[in-house]
Amino acid sequence: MNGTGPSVSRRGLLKGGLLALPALAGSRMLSALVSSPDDAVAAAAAPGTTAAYDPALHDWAFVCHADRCIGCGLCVEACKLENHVPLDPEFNRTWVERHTVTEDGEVLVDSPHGGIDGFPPESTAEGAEGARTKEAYFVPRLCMQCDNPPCVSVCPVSATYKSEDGVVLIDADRCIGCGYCVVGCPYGARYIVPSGEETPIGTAGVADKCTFCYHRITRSQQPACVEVCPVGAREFGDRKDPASPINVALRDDRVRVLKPEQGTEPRVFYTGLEGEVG
Amino acid sequence: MSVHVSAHDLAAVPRAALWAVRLEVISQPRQLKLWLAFLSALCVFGAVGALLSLPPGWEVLGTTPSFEWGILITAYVFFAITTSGLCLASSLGTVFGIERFLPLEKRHAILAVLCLVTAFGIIALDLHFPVRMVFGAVLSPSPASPMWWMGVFYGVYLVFLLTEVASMFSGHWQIHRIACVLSSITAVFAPLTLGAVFAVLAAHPFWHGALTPPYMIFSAFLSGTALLGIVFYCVHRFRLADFERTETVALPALRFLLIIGLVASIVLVAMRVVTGLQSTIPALADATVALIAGPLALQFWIFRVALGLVVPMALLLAPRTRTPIGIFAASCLAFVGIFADRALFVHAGQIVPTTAAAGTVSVPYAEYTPTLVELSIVVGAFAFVALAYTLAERFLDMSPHLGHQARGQVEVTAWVPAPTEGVL
Amino acid sequence: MTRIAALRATTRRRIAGAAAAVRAARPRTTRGVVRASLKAGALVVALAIALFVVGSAAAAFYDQYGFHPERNAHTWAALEPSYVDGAICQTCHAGEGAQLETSRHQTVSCEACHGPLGEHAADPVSAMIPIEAPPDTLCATCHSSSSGKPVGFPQVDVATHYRSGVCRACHDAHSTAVVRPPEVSHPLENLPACTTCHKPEGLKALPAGHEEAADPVCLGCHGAGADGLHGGER
Repeated sequence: MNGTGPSVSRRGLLKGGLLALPALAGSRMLSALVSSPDDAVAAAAAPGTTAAYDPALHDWAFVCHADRCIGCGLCVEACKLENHVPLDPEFNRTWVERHTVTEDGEVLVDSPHGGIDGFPPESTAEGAEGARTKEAYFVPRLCMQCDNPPCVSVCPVSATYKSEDGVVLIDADRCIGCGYCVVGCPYGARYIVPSGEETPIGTAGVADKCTFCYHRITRSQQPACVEVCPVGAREFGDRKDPASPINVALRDDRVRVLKPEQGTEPRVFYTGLEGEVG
Repeated sequence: MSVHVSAHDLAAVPRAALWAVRLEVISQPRQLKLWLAFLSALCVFGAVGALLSLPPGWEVLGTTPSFEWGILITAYVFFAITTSGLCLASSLGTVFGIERFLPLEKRHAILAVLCLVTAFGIIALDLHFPVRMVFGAVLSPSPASPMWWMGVFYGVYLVFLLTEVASMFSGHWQIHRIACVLSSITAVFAPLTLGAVFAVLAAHPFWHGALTPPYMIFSAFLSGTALLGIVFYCVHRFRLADFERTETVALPALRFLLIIGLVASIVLVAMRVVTGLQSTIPALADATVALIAGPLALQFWIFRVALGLVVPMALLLAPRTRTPIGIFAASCLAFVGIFADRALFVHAGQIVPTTAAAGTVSVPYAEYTPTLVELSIVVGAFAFVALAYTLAERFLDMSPHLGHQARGQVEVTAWVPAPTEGVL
Repeated sequence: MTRIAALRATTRRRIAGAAAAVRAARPRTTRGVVRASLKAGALVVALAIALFVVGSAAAAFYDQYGFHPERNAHTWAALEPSYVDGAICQTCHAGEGAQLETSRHQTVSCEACHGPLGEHAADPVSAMIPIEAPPDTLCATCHSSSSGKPVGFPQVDVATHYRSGVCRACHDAHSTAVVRPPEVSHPLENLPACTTCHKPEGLKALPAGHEEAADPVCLGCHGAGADGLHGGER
């Protein structure tokens, strides 16, 4: 009754127990209700998709053979049809450039409408008329899906991210259209979807770019540009799959990347290039 | 005829408000009426442009995938760093208690709030989904992104500025002092983050590098000082609150600050040009050549160098032009020069396309022309700041608070015409 | 110093006073204890419920608006492809498939020329795309000679190539076999222009796709030893 000592009386025990039970129950209810990411992911997997697709088991890579490319532009057209890219030549997820090396060592680049209608017989680049050509070749271009992507690090709302299998994707519901990723890309691979157009998962005003045809590669298909290339200038495969021919190409074809000095560590490799590619 | 119209009265009773407005318009001198009408017309022009740029009319902006940041970004950067510059230039007065800058005390805070609000308004028009930015910055922040930090710092800065202004007019001087200190600190860091937005982009060597954030700070200092010079001349010319000390004390001090700012700018511009020309990075060398001898040369040499640096410097140093109007002219020209500098900075950074031919990029230089909608938004923004500040000068008590001993005694209302000259 | 000591004393006095008040208010009867416990328990339960509501609302909010990249990756993966795997065409079009297997076009997928066939492959009957053979300009997209193409790649100068623009008169797209036009079976001396007899109402009508042209054009294909068959070939 005087309550001075620290002894626990029967009353104190009763009080403590009565207080502890609701606290325990409340915390258990809370933890059960915070949804775990796995449940959400399984719930969100749409029917028809490979819910069995595990990104951690794949490591996608791409090889462009500039010595095989004929500049037909079928890849550019296929990409636009597959991915609902605006037909306006200003917007390309992939495009083809022709590099003409003159006798003076200058590299002139032309890319009429991204190469979608093929190329005229001679280079249309400024300064190409009358120049003596030493050699010329075609260079397919697309998003490099960098392992150290400048676009991912500069996005203020984390709308663009790198998936576990190595593809850089964009959450179109989160993108605010600031264009920071567009100016941040050293390869010019991104664009803001113009008004009047829509991406398959978003509206105009968000950023968009090549996704390696993510909806195809997760179904064990090839990206559309690889599918239609008539000469095999584009190769795609899984580095984690020992049977994939991409590993042979990466090992044997003396591949290199574009703008290595930017430190972006691209996943798209090139063979058959001469000199610098800007 | 003298009628005291305060902010409280206007809000209180609508009918009385209408009467008050009518009385106010009648009592305004013709000069002021013309000025306000002109600014209102420009604001309407800007508002129309702003409405046109809202979705789905985005094709009204002149930006392309190879030139994504246009004149709206230029204007945003300009207003944002002017805000910081105002605080930098006048923090000498409030934080350190230097008496000669007291006429600035309330004016710089109001100007800063107006400039920052305008900057936010412009960027809200440029962003395609501004509401998402508020949610996204909180729910999925990206500390690796300088733009996220910029949003955080400028958001916090706005809060501090509004607190500063509110506490200034409600009389809570303790809070005001704390808010002043906090906003002065933020005023230093915020333009650094804005500079970092440009500085981290290795894809654009003209912007890349550690020099860009300090360049923004010095530029902010000059920009803020120039704007204060313009305002102070108006205080002096139109005999606004506490004008007595402007000619003898405030304007000479501002002249000194302007000279410092111009010297810093000259040094920075020269360094940028020299290092750019000598660079072995092709994109940087090409961009600098475009700046001084290419498509941007006219803008650079006439607006940035001649009108923005050389002439103001001459006006400030020559003994004959050390007058209020000389300082005003120098401030105006420096202000124009800073805007030209912002525009050239943003343009030169993107003028060499990252890829020689992504689709239909023009080579060797990417092309960008601001559309009429973009220009109208920028013009409207300037007009809004001028209009709002003129109204603030007219209706609010701008005389400085003279410390705790004079609390409640200073009641000079701004608009009472001086006996000798009928002006505002 | 005295000020601090006085402050300390005041605080101590206040705490002691509060403790005494709590002690005085302590319930002394069993009913009082039960009532007090119920009040405390109700308070705790109310707090738990409030935390639960706020917590689950926050969790639901973050669930919807938070950062879940794996979910967005699933959204991208859930899109429908428009192009199919080329091998699937052979299940119905075995003839063309067999032709392609041994031809020089074996690396060319069906959709490279025929466009996206996803809809058609999913439902060949109702999504029967009248697959018109692509126009001959498509052949030129790959096979017109231009700077940049690899040297070994078959390319022609389309403008001067034999029967320019009518590629499939001689070339089969699937088997890539070349059908040469027949040589003239009759002697050529002392004959009027070819079109005198070879016209719609003449002795032997021109086959489909042939236009009336001057003699050198006809002889370019049908003349003996005509070498202009694949002009411009590298």
